Amino acid sequence: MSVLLPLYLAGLLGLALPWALHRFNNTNPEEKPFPTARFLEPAQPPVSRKHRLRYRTLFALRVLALTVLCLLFAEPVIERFLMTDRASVLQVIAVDRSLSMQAGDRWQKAKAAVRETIENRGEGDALQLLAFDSQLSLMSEVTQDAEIIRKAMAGLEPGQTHADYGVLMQRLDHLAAESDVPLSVTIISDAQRSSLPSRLNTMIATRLQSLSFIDTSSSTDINYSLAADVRTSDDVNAQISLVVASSQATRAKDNNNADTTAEPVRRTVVVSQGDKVITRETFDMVPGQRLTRVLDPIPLPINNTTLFEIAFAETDSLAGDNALTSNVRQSSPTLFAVGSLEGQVNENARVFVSTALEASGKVEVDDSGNAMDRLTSDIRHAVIFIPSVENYVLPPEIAKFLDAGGNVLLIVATGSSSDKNAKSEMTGLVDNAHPLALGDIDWAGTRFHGLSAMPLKDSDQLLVETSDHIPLLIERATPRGILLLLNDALDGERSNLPFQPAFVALMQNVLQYFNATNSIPQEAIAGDQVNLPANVQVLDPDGKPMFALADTGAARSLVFERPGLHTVVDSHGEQYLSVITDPRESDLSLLNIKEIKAWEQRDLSSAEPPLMADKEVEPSARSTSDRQQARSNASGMWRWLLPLLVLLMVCESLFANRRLMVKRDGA
Amino acid sequence: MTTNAASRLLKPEVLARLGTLELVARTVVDGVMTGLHRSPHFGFSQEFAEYRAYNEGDDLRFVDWNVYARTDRAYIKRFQGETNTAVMLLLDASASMNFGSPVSKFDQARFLVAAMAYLTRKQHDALGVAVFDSKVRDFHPTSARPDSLARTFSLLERCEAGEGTDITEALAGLRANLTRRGLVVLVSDLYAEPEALSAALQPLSHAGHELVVFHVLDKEEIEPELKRVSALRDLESGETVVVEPAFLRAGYRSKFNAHCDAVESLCTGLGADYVRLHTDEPLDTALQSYLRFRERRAR
Repeated sequence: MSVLLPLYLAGLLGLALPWALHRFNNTNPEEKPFPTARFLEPAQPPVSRKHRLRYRTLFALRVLALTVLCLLFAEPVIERFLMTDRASVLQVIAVDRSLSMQAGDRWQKAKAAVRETIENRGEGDALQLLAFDSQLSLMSEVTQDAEIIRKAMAGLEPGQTHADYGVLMQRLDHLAAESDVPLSVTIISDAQRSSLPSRLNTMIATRLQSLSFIDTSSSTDINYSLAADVRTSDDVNAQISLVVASSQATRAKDNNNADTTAEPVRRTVVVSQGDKVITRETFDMVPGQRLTRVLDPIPLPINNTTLFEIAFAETDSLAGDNALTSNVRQSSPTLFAVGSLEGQVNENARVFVSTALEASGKVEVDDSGNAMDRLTSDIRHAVIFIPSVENYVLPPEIAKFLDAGGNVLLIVATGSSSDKNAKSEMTGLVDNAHPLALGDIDWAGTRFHGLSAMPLKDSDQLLVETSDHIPLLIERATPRGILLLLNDALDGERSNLPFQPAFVALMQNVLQYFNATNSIPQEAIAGDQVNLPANVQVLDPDGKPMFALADTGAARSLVFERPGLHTVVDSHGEQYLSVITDPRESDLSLLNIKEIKAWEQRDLSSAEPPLMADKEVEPSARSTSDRQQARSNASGMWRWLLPLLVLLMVCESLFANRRLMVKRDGA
Repeated sequence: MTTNAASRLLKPEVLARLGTLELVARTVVDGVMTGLHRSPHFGFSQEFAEYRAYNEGDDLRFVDWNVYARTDRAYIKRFQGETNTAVMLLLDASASMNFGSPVSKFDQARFLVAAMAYLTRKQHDALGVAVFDSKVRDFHPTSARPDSLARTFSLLERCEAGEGTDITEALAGLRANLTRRGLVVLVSDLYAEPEALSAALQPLSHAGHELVVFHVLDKEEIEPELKRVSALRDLESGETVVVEPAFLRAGYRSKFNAHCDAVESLCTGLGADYVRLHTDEPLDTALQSYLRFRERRAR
């Protein structure tokens, strides 16, 4: 056990007081009056007074209470020790392996820093190697064998993703909380400013015993990054938009402004397909500059190749963001099939639906008689008219379409009442929280009469109902795909919904909902997590599948760490997913020395300029960060000492009062 | 007044709360007399002794009306005890008397002396009082004057326990003033050698005085208790003796009891009446002893 504030132990000198009171208060025999001494005999032999403590129990209680009080203020702690290896400190080496560490000689510096840290560790200190980018990875177990650390470092290479200092510090803090020994951390990184988290208070890790930062950056590093977007609107020509940015490893607070005093450097962007160079574009750039340029339309090759390689002709400090492969994005409309599995669709209803869907110009509706035949091929979305939903059983064609990932809006024309004299009802309940954004639709003018009740399953989600509580629109849960049921024949007879602006808005929202829910993105950033629907396989840029066959049946998310063009294959075909490098890693601007020092001292407000105003620190983090370092890694005993002190004081008072009463009665 | 109430009123700590010694005396005597009158076992009697001529102011209750009817002359009956005995009360006011609880021996002695003074005057006896320690400090010769009681109370009120004890010297000084035979009542803690006591009391006995000795003691000096070695300081000499509790439990008690027995034996040998009075005991016992002595003397 040790104490954090040993000065308060000086209070133990106060123990001399109760000792003196109990020890010396009867140095001389108590003198009492007596009528006559004629019958008295002096004590024989002369009294060698035994000095002893009076009221020993009371004395013990008082001594204990004073001792506990002193310890309470001195804050004793029990330091936890490693059961294995008997290490006194765990030396954690956290190496930055983000994309920017590929620049210049940063990685070589990092390796050298690791070796030096190992050599300079304290006697008996344990070691552990961690690597961080957007996550923290354990590269070795806790060990006192330096060779293990060296081997782990030898097998480590910088990656393609972005570093997040906030995630790093939070994971280290958690690691320290679970460690049996104090954690001393050495961060080896290029001090990239873009690695600062959006919430700076996540960088406060109070449980670390110490933190040191080894900066591997070089001020001579200059980086040019490239981003491109290739689209076609007519499938004939491709429109390429380029964004070129330059960044220098400086410690200025704001490196966003271009250094107009520097000499511009010429950079050339080459657009090619395979071995054929399509075009070249030159840029004269100064550090900190960002240029956007739209190239002249490029005819698409006849061989239907839609991939373009776009890259810098020159090299720079960071090569990882100098090239990319971009797929031509088709501006093709969304296909909708509109039809019926039984009989003909009411003509009015068909027109109403098709018109509403095509209102945005992004939808192509196939409402021909063969539309339903296309459900299992290239159509993803469908509006299907059915007379009723009997016993909650979907027609097998629709179930099959849903299982394949299709989305269906079922128009359920239940009932047969077209009595226009029936009571007219308005819309009642509207689920505003649903992604269909139903609350944004103006339902004011809609009227319904003669709608029949539609039975609901327990898992059905009621989205819109009439004022007399007849379900109008529900979403029914399905394993795959989206199933919406609309309780209106849309023939203009049971309601005026098709004539209201609400209907077009409703159909457009349905379109967006269908597109957004299980669509596959066309672009992702390396290191980000992408949600993928079920029944898809992803091929990496080398064409290798990324999922095991057994894992393709369920929807899942995937972190794409490797930049490049990935292929997503599902039942509807293939589409490209372009994974690009994180643009934050392309910005080489650095933290200044004072910011780094403030970080090491765990006082972000002391940086110049302050990384974080004190008021921005969460109260819990502020109060914790004000504590001394050793305290954060130790188990405080005040929780036990304070109640013990209270108990001792109560016992002492009771005991002392009892003794006083006895003495009073005796006297 | 019931017997229980009388006993309660006669407790020393109760008497100590009364305002004056006169009130104390009245309380004690009246309480005792009331109890006596109701007790079937009391042997005090008032037997007719003689007649005397009626004087103006005598109590008409004692006029023998039969004699008046026959003789046309008023005569007062006089009973046994109404013989104008001279009662001299001797109060020890030495420092050793200033000890005890719930009241000190001195206070207990004063209450007793006050009660006996009141009783004496109630019985129309001559009353005298002397206060002494190492010598006689105050002395009122026996007198039947009406103010003798008031003067006695006044003396008792203002006297305090003083210095050392020398009964022999004190009583020797008194002997010359006790010209009239009577009753001598000594109230003291009798801290003197038995021989000295004998030398002090024997002349009085030989002079024809009737002696009553009240030996006033406190529980703490009879059976002292100490929890630890203590230094006991003699109230008269100031001498301090460090004693052990074990000695007080054994050696002291045997010595003390031997002294008390010696004193009692001495008094008995002189024909004096010896009564031990404890400070925590009601005064009725002591007073009854005194009254029984008066009764025996009257026979």
